[in-house]
Amino acid sequence: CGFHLRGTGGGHQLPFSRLALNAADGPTNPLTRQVQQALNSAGVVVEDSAPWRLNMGPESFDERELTYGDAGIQERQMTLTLPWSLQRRDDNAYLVSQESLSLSGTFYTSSDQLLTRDDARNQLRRELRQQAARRLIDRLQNLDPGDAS
Amino acid sequence: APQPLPADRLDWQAWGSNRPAGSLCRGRYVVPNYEIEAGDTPETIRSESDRAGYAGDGVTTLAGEVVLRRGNQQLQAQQATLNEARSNVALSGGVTYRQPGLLVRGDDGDVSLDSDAASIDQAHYVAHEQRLRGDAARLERLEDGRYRFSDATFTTCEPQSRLWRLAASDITLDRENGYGTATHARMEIEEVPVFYWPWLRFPIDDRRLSGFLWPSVSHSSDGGLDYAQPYYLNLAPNYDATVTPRFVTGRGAALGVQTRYLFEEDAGQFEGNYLPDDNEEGGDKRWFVNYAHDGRFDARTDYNLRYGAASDADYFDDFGQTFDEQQTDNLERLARLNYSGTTWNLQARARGYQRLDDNDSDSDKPFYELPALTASARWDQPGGLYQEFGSSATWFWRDVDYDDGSIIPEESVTGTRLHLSPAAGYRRSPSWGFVEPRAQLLATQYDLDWRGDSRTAGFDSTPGRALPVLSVDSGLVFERDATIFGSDWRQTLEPRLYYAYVPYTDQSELPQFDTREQPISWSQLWSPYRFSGPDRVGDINKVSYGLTSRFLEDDSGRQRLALSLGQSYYFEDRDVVDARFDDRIDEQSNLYYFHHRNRSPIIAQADWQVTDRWSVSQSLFYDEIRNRTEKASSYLSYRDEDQLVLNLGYRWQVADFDPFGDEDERTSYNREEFDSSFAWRVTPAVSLLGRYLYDQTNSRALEKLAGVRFNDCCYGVQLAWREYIDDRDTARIGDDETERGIFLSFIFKGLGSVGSGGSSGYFADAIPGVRDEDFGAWQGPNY
Amino acid sequence: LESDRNQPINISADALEISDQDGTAVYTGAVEVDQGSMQLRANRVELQRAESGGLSQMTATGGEDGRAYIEQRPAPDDPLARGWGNRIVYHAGERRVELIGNAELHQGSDIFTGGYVEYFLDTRRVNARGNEQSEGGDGRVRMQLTPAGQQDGSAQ
Repeated sequence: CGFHLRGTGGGHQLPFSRLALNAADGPTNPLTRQVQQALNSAGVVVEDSAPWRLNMGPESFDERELTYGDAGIQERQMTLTLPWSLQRRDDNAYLVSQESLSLSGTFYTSSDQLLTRDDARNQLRRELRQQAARRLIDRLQNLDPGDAS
Repeated sequence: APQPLPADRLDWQAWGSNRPAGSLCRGRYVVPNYEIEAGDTPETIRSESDRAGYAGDGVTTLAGEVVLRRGNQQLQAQQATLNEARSNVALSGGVTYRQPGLLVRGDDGDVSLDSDAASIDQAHYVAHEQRLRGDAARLERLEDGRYRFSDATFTTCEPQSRLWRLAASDITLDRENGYGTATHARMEIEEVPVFYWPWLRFPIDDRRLSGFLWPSVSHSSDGGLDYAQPYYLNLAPNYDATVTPRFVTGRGAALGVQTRYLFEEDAGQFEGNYLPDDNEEGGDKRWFVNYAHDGRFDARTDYNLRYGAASDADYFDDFGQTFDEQQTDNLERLARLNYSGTTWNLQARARGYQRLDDNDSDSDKPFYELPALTASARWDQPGGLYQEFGSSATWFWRDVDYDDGSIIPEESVTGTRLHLSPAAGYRRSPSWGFVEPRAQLLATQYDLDWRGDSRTAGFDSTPGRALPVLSVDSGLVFERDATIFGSDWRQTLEPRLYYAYVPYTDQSELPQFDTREQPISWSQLWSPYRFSGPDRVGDINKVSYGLTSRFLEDDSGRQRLALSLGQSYYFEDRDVVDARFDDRIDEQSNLYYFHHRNRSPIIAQADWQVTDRWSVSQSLFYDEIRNRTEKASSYLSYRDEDQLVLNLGYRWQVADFDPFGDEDERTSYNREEFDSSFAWRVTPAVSLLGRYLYDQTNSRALEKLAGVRFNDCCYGVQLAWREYIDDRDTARIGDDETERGIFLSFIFKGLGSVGSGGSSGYFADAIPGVRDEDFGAWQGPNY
Repeated sequence: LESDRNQPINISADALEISDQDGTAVYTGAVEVDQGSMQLRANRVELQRAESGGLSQMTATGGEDGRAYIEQRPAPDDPLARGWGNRIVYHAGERRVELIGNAELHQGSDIFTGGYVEYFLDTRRVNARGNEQSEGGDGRVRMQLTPAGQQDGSAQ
């Protein structure tokens, strides 16, 4: 039915062999590290002198309570939003400008798990960051450096 | 103050056919060009007039349509006299003073040319950017750049509109710090005074200041009319305070205070409210205090302090001014020191909570961590090998009556816990998939003081436990180009296989300080942990298999649709159970079934961005052993931010899907709820909002919310009506109460948001997609 | 200077025409009139003598850029006062100069331009007007002033 392993058999190769990474939250931010690792494992060398620069805006999480009422376990939805853009280094032309990636997940909490509420929240944050990094690679895979504007 | 000038004298141009869509104002300020060119140096003064004279004593007089230009200041008058030193010019016969963003017209004036000082009598002024205008018997621009108006008015309404204005004997505007102060201030609606302040400070841009502190008016079924009037105390530029007398007809008078301070490296806030005797609660004292302070020693080391306490669990239900506040379920007490290095993260904290639960018994009280020390690190090698180290040492304590029957033996204890969780793994994730074998050791050692006397007689006081956690996660990514519904897609097929093994060991005589068993979820399929917290290490021997297919737009790679399926197959029963329920785990109970079924429910999820505006998300937990849907939720939403937001939701959850609560917390009926909410901007001026949450099982409405927002050029009014069920923190519906409330808030644009706790929190939670700052949003000068 | 009024007047020109009965003398062609620190340059200068025989009035017209030019040093350490006009009338008795039409006066660091500028040499008083007897210009007087701090002639 036409499926082949990604990256083999004429699949889309990442059109960038080298990329500079400019993250608003700084290099030590977990999401920046995730994106860096995802780029490395997709065969992209991350260095400042690369012809193209991936700009990552500040990551932002916001939460909403899905279940009504205070009894028992509540389900909370958390959404990660990451604004990003892709720019050519020499003339700052944009291949992708002001895009924003957003994905969400849910976690459980309740008023008798106050001490471990943050652990569940941080676990979901790690998962959302990992997914966000992969989704960013999906987006980069499809771009054609030719049509920068 | 002198009478306002007609619109055309204030640079105001009404919109003609070029009126932008959605604009609320009937025109805008247009700054005309300068009459004459500026001189070649900023100090040079150029002038144009019908006549000019230079007297022997050096005084220069200009007469007849005089225009003076110095740098970006321009002065116009019939008569202008410059002193010998050219440091000052006196103007008379109708003055116009212009500088970027400001216009002042008056009878006569005196402007210093070598400093910023200027004063104009019988002045009418316009600040174009902030759209502030007003009149003053005298307008002075002080040396330090502040403006002072005496016997003045101030508004952001369009010229010739008298809707609201602030009149005061003295107004000072500090544009640099973004606030104004006024003495003997009175707010006039259509020139009728409605409020009075002896002294007042208000923001003139949206910086730190919380907003013009307006009275908040609301009415609720149990409290009656609730009227709060905040007063702002200006103590220092970085230290301010707000005192809020508040009167609730059904309860009595209360006094609230909020202070904030902001220093170089730290900032803090204290707030509190005190009601001496609450008539509704037999004269009890009702109060709450909340202190928060955050600071930083250096880029890597910061600290936080929190202390919150309330007189009783119902405090916020009765006195919360926004929906968020009303849902406060705990108040945190915390002192925390954080160090985040490149590899190591260290933290020392003392933490505890006051739980605000209506039927709090001692067994519900959370433990205090006095203190907790944690250290964690991670090392990554280029090949994909990584090591993690987690450790925590915690002293648990709580103040409970130990012979209270409700406390289970495993929780009638205090003591210390040392927990180490080193792990090593290898993760390779090329673009065609990933594989991650991982091994972790969970080693815990206790030093306990059992308090349950007979029930905990035989328990070991220094128990320990060490268990391995072994897991392998793997997945592949297949993809193909497909044309479906007539457009090109790149479809991926991502199978995933996960195995986790944790051996069983008896943990029935170990304490349970902060650990709870978690219900099944998508992320739990791919995780070896059944419990949150280290006191219990859930035995598990399972394989999870899943398939995700994603449809990416071929040209942009943006994800349109993602479908995923997943399930776990358990090779063995799960024997470790949350200590709170191991007595209830008889054969027929769901708890028993959940721990002995050999397959988890099939979890299906779908996220579909149908169009740029419509999106659908669906999740389903189907148990094919008992052929029933354990949990399901589907949402349909329409988002057109400034026109219409629409949400339709359905949630289903089988009665004992969450078997882990105590009898107060466990729902005894299937929860089936329909949720619909919308926010519709009918016209740029009028928006309607609403929500209807219906509990199908008990055929009752859980929440009904209706709101209307009227938005005009310089003010906005919002009226919200809400009727909701207060479940009094129990799952039983017998003790539920219906509450009603009407909330009024209004906003004078340019003076910051205002009303009961500002208009935030009413709608953002109840109607997904609504941003509260839309209401009264400052749309910038040309709207 | 104050002392200019009793200095001798030297005049050089291409041609001279004298008519005794009304005591006027007309110099034409690159006329240069000097009296102490005052200098006048024009294409045509007409002198009138008072009954007492002294100079009563000088009227100068035309010059290099079509305008007559006059300069004078009001005080020993002051910068020169310089004036241009389509027509310049110097009233000796009143020590008053009228610059008429395209008038321009540089006094210290101030510059007056307009239809008509009247300047008193000793008191340094100035009056400037737009139209009336002006020849051209929009009837407005323009000035460029420099505050006290920069008086030392930066605006030349």
